Amino acid sequence: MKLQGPADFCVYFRNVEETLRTINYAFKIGFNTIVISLTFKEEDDLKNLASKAHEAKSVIKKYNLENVFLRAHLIGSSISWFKNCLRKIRYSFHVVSAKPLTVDSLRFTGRDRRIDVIVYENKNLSRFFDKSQMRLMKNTETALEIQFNSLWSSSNYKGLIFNLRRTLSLAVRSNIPIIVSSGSSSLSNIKTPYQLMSLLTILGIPYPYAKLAVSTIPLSIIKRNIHRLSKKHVETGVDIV
Amino acid sequence: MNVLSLFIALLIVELTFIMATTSLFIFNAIELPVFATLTILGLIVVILTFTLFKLFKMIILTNKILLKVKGEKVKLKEALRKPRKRYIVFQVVSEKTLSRDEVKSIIDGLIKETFGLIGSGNINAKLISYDENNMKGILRCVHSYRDAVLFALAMASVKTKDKVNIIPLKTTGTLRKAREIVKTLSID
Repeated sequence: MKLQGPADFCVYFRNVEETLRTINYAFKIGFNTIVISLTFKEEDDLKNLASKAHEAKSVIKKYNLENVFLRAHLIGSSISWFKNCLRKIRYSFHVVSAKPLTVDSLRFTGRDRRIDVIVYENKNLSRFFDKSQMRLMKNTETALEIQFNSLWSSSNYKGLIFNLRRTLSLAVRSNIPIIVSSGSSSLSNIKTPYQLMSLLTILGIPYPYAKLAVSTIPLSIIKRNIHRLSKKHVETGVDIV
Repeated sequence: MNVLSLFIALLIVELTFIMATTSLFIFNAIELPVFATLTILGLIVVILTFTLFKLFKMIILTNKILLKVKGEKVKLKEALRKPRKRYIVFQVVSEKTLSRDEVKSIIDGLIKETFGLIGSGNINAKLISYDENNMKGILRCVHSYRDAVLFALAMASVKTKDKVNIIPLKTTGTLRKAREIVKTLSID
């Protein structure tokens, strides 16, 4: 099946049954591409992630799920931990995203080309998604991801909307690709593509940009990484013909 | 050319004329009656120019006000025009079956909490129908606020802590089509 949008860039993997139900439902409500996200924190064991990835891959293979991809979602604060993880897992996942918890790690993830997406963090680091961060992200072609369900974890909605609007307008001005994903883990919090787009349009982002954030940009990242993982790829701009 | 600059130019010409006649009278080139006549003529022309300038200015101001009023009228006409409607077919995902009143209160609460009193008034959302058996319903809103309604519906799972999720299935322009979709579309 041809790779086409709209794409839900983040469906969290909890267990096989729930994830399967969520994927099937997501396909029915309008998504054509889905990325299953496996969360990996600093305190977790790498073997655990590998077994989870193996389980997810076997599910995809068993049920012959087309246009379903795997993603590693790294949550951490130490730069050395990020470096270590990236060295080990980069080639086993289609997409690698990061949710840094400190300013140093935020700047590092902005600078590292192995990270495809940085997830917007509302709690402490929202004000550090500034011009210099955008410049770093622009140089490495890293996208800024907004996860709908994870956004509303804090009760301070006023500050969230103010900071989010500021960050989004900065990203649009700096030509940083924006992605909106549902961040869902079950049927009870799944969102349709139009609902995801509405988040951006409500915050004053033009409709064409919102459309790109749900379809074109996630697909381009997946395509880029499929090519990178193929045997033909040697280096950026160097392929075996 | 600006009216004010034209008036200033005319005034300079007239004042020069008056000054010239005065200097001619001083050097005895013209007689007193001739000088008096010329000066009076000059002054009359100055007064006429000033009056004309005021008149032009008033005409321009009136035109501007008329244009503004016309623009406001056009705006008012647009506001008075009957707004187009959109019908959003939605499905409720919940562990227990929700009644029509419960769904109505959830949707009204979400829209009011998200967009406030004025926003909810502009959106003008109304639950047209709701089937408790398959938990599908039709929600009507003003066409320009469709995104706002979709966003408010997306907030359902956040507000109810994943107990209730409202999924918009389709948006249509007519109620008949929306009813057809409710009957035919099944994603379970």
